[in-house]
Amino acid sequence: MWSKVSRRFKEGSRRVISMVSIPSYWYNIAADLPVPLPPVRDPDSGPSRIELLTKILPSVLIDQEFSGERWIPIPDDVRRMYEKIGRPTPYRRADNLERELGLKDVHIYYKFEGVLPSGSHKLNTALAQAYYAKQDGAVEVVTETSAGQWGLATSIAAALFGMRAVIFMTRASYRSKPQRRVLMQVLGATVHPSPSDLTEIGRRLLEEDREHPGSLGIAISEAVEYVLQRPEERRYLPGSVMEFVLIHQTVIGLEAIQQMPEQPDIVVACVGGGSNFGGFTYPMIGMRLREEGFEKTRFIAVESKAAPKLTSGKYMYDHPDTSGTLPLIKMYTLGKDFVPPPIHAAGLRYHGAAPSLSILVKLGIVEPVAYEQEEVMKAAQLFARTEGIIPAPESAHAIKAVIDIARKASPGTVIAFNLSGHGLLDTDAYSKVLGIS
Amino acid sequence: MSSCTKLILYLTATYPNTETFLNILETVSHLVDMFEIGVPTDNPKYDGPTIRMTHRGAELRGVRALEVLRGRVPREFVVMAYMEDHVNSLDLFLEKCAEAGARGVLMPDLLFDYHDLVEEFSKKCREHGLEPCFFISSKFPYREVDRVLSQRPLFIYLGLQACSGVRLPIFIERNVKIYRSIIGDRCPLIVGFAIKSPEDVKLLKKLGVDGVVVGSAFVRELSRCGLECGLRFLEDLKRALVE
Repeated sequence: MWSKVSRRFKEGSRRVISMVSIPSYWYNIAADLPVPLPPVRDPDSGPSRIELLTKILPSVLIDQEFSGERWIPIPDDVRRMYEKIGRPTPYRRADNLERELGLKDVHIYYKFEGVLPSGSHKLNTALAQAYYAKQDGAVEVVTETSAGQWGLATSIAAALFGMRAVIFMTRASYRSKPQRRVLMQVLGATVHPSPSDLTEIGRRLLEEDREHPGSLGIAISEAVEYVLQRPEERRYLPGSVMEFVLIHQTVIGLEAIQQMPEQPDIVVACVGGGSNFGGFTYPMIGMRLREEGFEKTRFIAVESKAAPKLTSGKYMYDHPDTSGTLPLIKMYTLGKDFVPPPIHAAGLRYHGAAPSLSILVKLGIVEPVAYEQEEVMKAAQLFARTEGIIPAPESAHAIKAVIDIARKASPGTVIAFNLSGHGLLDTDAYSKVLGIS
Repeated sequence: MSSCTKLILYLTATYPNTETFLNILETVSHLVDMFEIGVPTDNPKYDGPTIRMTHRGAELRGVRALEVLRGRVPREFVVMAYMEDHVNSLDLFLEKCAEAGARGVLMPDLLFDYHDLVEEFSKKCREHGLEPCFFISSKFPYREVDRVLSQRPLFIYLGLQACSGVRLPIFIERNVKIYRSIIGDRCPLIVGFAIKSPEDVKLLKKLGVDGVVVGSAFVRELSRCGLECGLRFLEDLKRALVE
């Protein structure tokens, strides 16, 4: 693949390539990492959480989580669905933004996942996960969501595969982002505010605080507990952090590599749990690790200062969920009990980062940076007013980093970022920013 | 190690007590090609529930458990221990392994948690007359396998599952083929974790592994109906390997 891309780079074409194919394989970076991924672990006491995975997750997803395969074939049915939802997504030049910033020979490109029916990249893995859940005989898929992007993606995937969807939505978002909640319901999903009274952990937290805002970690715990109430017909679909989620998202980066008219010097994406970041960058990082390209490219992971696991967290074993129902994974974490303040970019309110991303940060291959909400939302407006796309507050973190980098970049610098979702359903956030009641 | 597939039995030293442990070694030695003997620890971090239980239930802890092995293990054996427990006294630990009569040492957390110590570990092993052995997971970076091979290990141990004794729906044939193909004939490849039936070992033999390790399943057989069941279990596996 790289020979084709490098040839295109050498030709110096500035034309954005639109005729690209949907990849036939996902990419698994575990095969190329400079150090191995630490194994998942059970805590010192209690039942085996590792064993529990068989009751929660679709079986193929467990296999993919522990697969040594570098290239994992995408099932034909999933590939057809990718086509149906509009993949490949566009890779565009942000030339209006470049002009507005007064850049001299600094090029900015973005991969736009917001064109998907879910409005974000999340559908890439939701489709694969729902497909595998159905293969296992499940009739209901269950998950958590904060901003609603993952819940919406799961609802769409469930609808496309003829399944039911049950979504635990963090209470803060359930209230502040009714738009996506309604859309999930239109698609046939049942949406519960989390913490809820449907689970033990939910009831416990509600007893402490009836107005508990919830967190992604709590919603994950509820979704898992709900699946375990009827494991024969339900499967849990995780939206991020698990390695197979990042693997599915690599369709983004694999397409982007085909589309790039110039090799980027700097690649940027935001981080909640790491799926958007990994999906966009891992195929490029993999080429670098295999010495096939991107040798000098910098990879920047942008997180929210409200949940700064990569910049302020500890690299340690921790549970991905608040209740500790899932096995321990080694990652940068703020602690499973960390409850971030409600922010517009609810998708970034998560305490940990995927193990592979955590390792890449630890090794210095990926550079983390954190931003405050206010500066991010200003960048979002600038992007909207120049490029005509209203970005999701999560994706706006990447935009803020790109703008900062571009302003200081030397001529000839090429920057690429993943615009992981649009913000058309984030009017609540933009209303507050603009002071519109 | 020769070319046929070996049967390797994992036991935690001095579990359930020293006398019974030594008796098991003696009783099953005719069926086993090699023993892997675990040093009891308070933190068997990468093990599943059954082997964790044996660590908790062992009579002795740490190097004291190694001392009882001296001259008492009727077959070739390697010692399994976590680097975390011995990183500050590695020389002393390896000295005890050598005194106990071990051929090699396997530290499953070495490549994951003490990645920078690989070369030093190998060097120290050889200084004590021991051969280094390395544990890799089912999604181990391909290039790192080469690094491990450059240490000329006694064997590479591929963990087929996420932890010992717990079977997940992992396509082990694919993973074994990947690492067998990377390793080639440069080093013996042994596999373990959740191997529990003659069908399992037949499949693994067909995939060209040099040895299969059983541990949790044997302990469960012992718990079920004593050494007699354990013996029958090993006989069945051995038969499947030589057929």
